[in-house]
Amino acid sequence: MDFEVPLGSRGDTYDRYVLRLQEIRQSHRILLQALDQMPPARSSSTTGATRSRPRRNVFGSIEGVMAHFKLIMEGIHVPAGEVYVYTEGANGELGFHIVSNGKGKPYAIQLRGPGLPILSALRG
Amino acid sequence: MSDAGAINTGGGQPGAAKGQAQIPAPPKLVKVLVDGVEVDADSRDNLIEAARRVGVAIPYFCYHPRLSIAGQCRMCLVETSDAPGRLVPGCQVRVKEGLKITTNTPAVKDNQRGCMEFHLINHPVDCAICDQSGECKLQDTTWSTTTSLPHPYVQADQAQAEILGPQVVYDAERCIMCTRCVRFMDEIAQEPQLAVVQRGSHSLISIFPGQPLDSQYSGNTVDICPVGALLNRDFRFQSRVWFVNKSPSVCTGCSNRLQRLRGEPRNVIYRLLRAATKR
Repeated sequence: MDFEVPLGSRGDTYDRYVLRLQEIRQSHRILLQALDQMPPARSSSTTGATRSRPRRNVFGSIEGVMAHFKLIMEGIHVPAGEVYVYTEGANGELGFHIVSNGKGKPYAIQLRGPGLPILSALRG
Repeated sequence: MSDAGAINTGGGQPGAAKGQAQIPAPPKLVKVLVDGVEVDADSRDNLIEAARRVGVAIPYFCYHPRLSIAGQCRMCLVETSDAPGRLVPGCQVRVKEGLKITTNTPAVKDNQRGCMEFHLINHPVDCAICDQSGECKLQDTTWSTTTSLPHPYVQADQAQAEILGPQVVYDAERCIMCTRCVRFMDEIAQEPQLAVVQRGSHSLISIFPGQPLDSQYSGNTVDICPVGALLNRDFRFQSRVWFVNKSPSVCTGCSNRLQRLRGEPRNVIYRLLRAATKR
């Protein structure tokens, strides 16, 4: 990976602002290099099993319109099981608990909002 | 090819389904290998049925367990140890002791993709207005066999939907000429009111002049049609398949189990289907 660590020289507010912008540029640089270095592989998005078709194929070709109906009306067939994934939310962890029964629509979805654990600090 | 219509190659043995072979000896258990998995198959099974026993789905359109074998659609071609390097139709070839069936080689997949291209080349882009959409064998098979990018669509003569009888309407542009309906009327209903007319890419299913499709069994041709070519006039444009709930029921007119299709928003019974006719 080829990148630079941006440094400020004055420490005032404007300096910190410029620093953030430079950090964004460096992050972008790292991401582009990571994409280039990613080994080629067959995945569900390259075989088309989970990828929406371009609009002109949906309206202009029978395979496109069939794929659209299978993906949108029937849904992506996710293997049976359950998963918990989280991402950064505005006030903490935003979590998704998804249960699949192997069909096109999820069996259950639970969202764990970032505000939820704060409630435990309140007197009941 | 298309005027082959109904070749009566199956049936014969009492109690055997039409798709099963004419074997004079009583059925026995034979061991075959489907993609390396050992299967105890019935000696009357064809390769499709033997593979189905272990959950391997060989795609097909024209084959139906209760009808004679036509070999029209060429989708079920697989490789066997009897004919290495060649593809054999899984609907017509019977199992035998020790036969190795391979359904996932590049040659088999290539054939399936090629056949799908031919089946789809004149197919109109009208899933959005087609009653079959959602329970269409063509849709399901395209989805499971085709991963390539779409090929150019060749605009065929736009055939108008034709009313064949009191219950059935026929849309020739969606028809893939599997001849299931023709064979059904010949063999099961025993009222041969349907036929293949014209030749080659112009061929289509038709009734005879002055003789509508008015058999008591005419509605069943809609059930066995794998695509949206034969449609029920009752159900046509009434609801989408994914908006109705299926629930088991009992037929009040015969001894068969039924599936009742109920519309969720208005609680209307849209149609009655025989359980497990769609295969």
